[in-house]
Amino acid sequence: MSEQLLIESLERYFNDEMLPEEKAYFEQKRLENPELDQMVVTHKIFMDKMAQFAERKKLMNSLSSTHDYLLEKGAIAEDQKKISKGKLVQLWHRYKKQLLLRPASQDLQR
Amino acid sequence: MNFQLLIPQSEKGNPVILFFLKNYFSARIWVTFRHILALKVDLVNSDQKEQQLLRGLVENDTKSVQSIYAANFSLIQALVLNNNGSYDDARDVFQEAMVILYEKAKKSDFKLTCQLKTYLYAIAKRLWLKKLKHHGLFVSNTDLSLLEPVIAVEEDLEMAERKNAEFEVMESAFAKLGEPCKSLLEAFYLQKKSMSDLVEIFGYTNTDNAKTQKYKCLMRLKKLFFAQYSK
Repeated sequence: MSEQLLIESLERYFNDEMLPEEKAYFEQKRLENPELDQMVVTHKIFMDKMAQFAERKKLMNSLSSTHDYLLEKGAIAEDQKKISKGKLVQLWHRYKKQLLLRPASQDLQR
Repeated sequence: MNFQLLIPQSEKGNPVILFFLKNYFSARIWVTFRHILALKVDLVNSDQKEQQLLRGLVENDTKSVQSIYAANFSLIQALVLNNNGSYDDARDVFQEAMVILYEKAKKSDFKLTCQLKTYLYAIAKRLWLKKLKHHGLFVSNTDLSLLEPVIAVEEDLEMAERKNAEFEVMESAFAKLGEPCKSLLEAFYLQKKSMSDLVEIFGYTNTDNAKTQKYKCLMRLKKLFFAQYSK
């Protein structure tokens, strides 16, 4: 068995994708061959660490996109004073300058 | 209140009045009992809601992550901002605390013994204190309440440090791998693309070639990983 085939069958073994006979044969081989057994153990550790790494990467991505989303929505803010619960308050903060400035500038024109 | 006094002498024999007098106090007790029961149900409900959110976090459910994030970020942000930190520090500390919460919630024997908010706050506090000390920024005008432990989170922090170290080993192994190995393995193991997807994305002529390349890359990554990991 080439090493590539072996690694591929290891992955199928870990993912529980082997047929029962194949699995039994493989486990028998492990019993007979300590070198193979050691290789299975090491590769299992490696694949587990890889899976954990993938999981955490995924979580970190989801946290960072959640942050951006909530920032956009106004649920969180860089400057905490700007956080508002309601849509109306949000709109008020966004447009208060324009609203307050408009009458003043009209007054000046008169 | 003594109802006996309010009832005219002539009505004392009225069966309706008698029934009322007999049952008034037990009714009161029943109402109070119902009240206590309702309060307890409320507590159980909020507890169940948090458990639900945590399950969502473990399953990477966007709505749950958003909900926990929105409900807790500002508190941690205030903590960091009030203690010599910046907005970016606050984001980093909060996200790190979320990762620790995730690792904890993932365990099969996990049970939240306090409110979610309390837990995240306690973790964030310890993380920020550690960062301040690390950068030599811990000065006397820092809010001293930062030093007071909220709840015991030592074990969780130790576990987090181990996980962080492992994560960094894998990350540096990936970084040393170079292209196209890095992208190939990331596509297969991180983004869970299929072999036929890989053929298409990277332009291999057939699945077998892609498989061979993936195998070679994996072996290189494994070697790089164990060179660091066993140290």
